[in-house]
Amino acid sequence: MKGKIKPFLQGCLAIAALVGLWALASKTGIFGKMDPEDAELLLPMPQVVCEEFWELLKSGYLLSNIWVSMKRVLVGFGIAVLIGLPLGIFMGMSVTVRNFIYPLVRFFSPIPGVAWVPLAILWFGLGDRAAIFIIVMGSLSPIIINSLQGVLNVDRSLYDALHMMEANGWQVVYHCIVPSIVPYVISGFRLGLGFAWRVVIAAEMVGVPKGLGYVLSVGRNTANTSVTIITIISLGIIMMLMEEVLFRVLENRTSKWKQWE
Amino acid sequence: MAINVRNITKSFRNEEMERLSILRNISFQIENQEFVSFVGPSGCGKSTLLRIIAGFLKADEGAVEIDGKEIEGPGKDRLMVFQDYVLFPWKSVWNNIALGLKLGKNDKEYVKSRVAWAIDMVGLNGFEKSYPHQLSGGMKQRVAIARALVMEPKILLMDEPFGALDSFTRMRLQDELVRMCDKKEFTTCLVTHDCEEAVYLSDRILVFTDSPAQIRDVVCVDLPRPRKRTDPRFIQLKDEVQELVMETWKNEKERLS
Repeated sequence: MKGKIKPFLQGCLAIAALVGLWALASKTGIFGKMDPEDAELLLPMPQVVCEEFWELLKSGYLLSNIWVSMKRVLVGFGIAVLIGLPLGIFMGMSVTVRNFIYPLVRFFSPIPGVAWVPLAILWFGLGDRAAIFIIVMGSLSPIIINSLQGVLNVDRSLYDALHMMEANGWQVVYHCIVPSIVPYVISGFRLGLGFAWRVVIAAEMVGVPKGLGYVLSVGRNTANTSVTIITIISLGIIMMLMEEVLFRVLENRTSKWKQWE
Repeated sequence: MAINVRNITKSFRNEEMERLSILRNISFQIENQEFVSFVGPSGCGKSTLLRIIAGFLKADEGAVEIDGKEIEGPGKDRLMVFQDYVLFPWKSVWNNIALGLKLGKNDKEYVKSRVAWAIDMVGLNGFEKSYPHQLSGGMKQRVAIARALVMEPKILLMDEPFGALDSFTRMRLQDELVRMCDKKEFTTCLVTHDCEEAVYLSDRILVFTDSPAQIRDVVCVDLPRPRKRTDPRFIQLKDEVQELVMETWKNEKERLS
């Protein structure tokens, strides 16, 4: 237990130092570079942001918009997993499937998700469906590529062991491929979920209404710096929580045998 | 079951796409329940031959027949024990051993009793819930042997199974293998570098030349079991096998110079 408290306290200290620096910068007008009154506008004091945070939470405005973005991310990411994971596995198992699909993946993967915004709005209108489409496009390729890499790295002698025991194709997938690729898939999911959030915020900022990105752009348009800072803090907290909830569970399940790597 | 290896020839392509002949026209028979070792210089192709018998590799020419029937691929009548164990890291000892029976959709109670028997056979009682990474090399190889025996194979193929173990563990496992083979339930092919191991375990030893491998000589071990490593006849046979292997190396050197 002692070993866990120390890093936690050190982390808290780093955050406290950052908040201290922030307060100092705000108070001194970004270290004397400008009039303190203007500085209040560009970088409000931490307690001002805190109060505003509380107000936004109380009114439900922040939470409802977080929920809108979260729903888009979860649905979009879920669809990307449902498409990407089996596709990656099939590509790893069959050279023919790989030859057909891999050029497409290579072509589409460097295209940033945001680039799909205009088309998505044209095709799906201004709403959830457009956002979900963009998220799928943005998070699909890391999921496919990591699952594929996982299958290609399966210890080939395990296939021999299964074949001599006369396992059929599904049994090979179930007993060997799926458990082997878990570490790869987890990192693919991590990347994919990160992309999904980035893309949804960008999409909401440039057009898709509601959501956290929308709050951010409203904050910018109304010169309300507190709101933009609050959005950034919320995003950080959400990402950390998602990491804990989704990936900690998966990794704990595999930790029993993971030391072998 | 009897194994009939008929005119097996095999070559691989190297990186420059040149053909490297590994096995050239190899033929021999192994009788039912016989224990035969393959000995020869390293890299001569004896493991390749074993993988062909297992069905993991296809020969370019020739065939392997089991009781007169030509093999077409791997099968549970011929189970392999690998040098590097090849256990499933995410499965417990129990599940590793039970895997083959579970794949065959056997009755649960039957699987339980068979696995209990196999665990008892290799002396892994109390380690059923352990994972491979928690076990020593010798214990991992016990799991691998149990995994094969649990399925009652007719032929056991062993590819340098004790090569990575320390000498005490190796001797203990050799003794246990003798005890298991004593029940006369399966035919065994063993690939090994260790001439003493070959003499200690085998009925017959096939000595291979360097690649392309051919059978240089066959040594019959006519000693009753359990054998004593200090028996003069044992030492004589071991020296004989060693001499034969060294000779093939010498010939190789002369050919090169």
